Amino acid sequence: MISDKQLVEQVLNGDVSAFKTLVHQHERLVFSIVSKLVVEPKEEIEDLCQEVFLKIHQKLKSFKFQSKLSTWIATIAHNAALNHVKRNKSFHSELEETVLENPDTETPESILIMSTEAEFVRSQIDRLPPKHKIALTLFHLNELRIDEVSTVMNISEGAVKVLLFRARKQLKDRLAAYKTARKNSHENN
Amino acid sequence: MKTISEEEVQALLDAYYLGGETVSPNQESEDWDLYATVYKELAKDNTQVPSTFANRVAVEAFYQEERKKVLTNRLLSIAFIAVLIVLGFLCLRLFGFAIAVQVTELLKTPFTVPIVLLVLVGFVLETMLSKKVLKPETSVGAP
Repeated sequence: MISDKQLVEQVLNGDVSAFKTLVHQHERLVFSIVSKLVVEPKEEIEDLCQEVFLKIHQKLKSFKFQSKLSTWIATIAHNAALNHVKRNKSFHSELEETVLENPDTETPESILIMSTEAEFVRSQIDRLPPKHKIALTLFHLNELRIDEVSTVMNISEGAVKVLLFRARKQLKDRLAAYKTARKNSHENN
Repeated sequence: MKTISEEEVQALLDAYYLGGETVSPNQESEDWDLYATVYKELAKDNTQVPSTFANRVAVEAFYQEERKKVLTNRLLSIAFIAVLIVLGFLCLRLFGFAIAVQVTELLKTPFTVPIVLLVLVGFVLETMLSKKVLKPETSVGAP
């Protein structure tokens, strides 16, 4: 496997297949960031991810390896998604924001419909505020270090740690409530 | 086993899931199992990427680069023409219309076409001769 430096050099020399490799290596990272911030149809998310990679292609000359290539790409994806959300502050995104901030809108019945704990946790991850989701995605899914997450999100390392702690605690508390509700429901039946 | 705080549980699970360290579950902490489930789900990747995405983006980047080259060439051509116009304007300002009249008069004469042809033939001959003269020189030292 070739190094990031070699790959970047090949792309800068006009090698299309090298750029294809670069996209392939980082597409999951970009999609995971964009889909956490942009609440739109799948096609819109795909278009935005394509825009991100075209921007990366244009800006690659200015990348001087002061950070990991993945951190640099994640920063561009995060900024592009944030700008997109700011530009298209539509009814849907506002509605989504309201739902995200108010998990109490769930009814006990809707909670108990979830068949497994795993399914419930996944649904709750989607309902977290965007900042929490991004921090969790970068740290847990993409395995970025705290300092790298702080670079991508443009916040202090302390703020990242607080975001991660609160998000995980929220998920844990909701899971505890779900377990209690299920237990009570079984006892009543 | 001692009871541990939530911060400690999270730190231990961070070390276990991300640092690759081995930790034994602390049964005294009520939160341990709950956090373990949360961490397990957080590590699962549900991101969906179309299989042709990388290919599509690479092709689009190639066309974008080509369009950029074409645009640069057009801009350079426009800049060149602009420079010629400015130079022409400067000539007129410096030498007045006399030079323009002289050039027009020269073009009107019946000798214009033969002169231009002569210059062209001279240019072509000069190029060919210079190549012929260069050939023996470049072959010096050849086996």
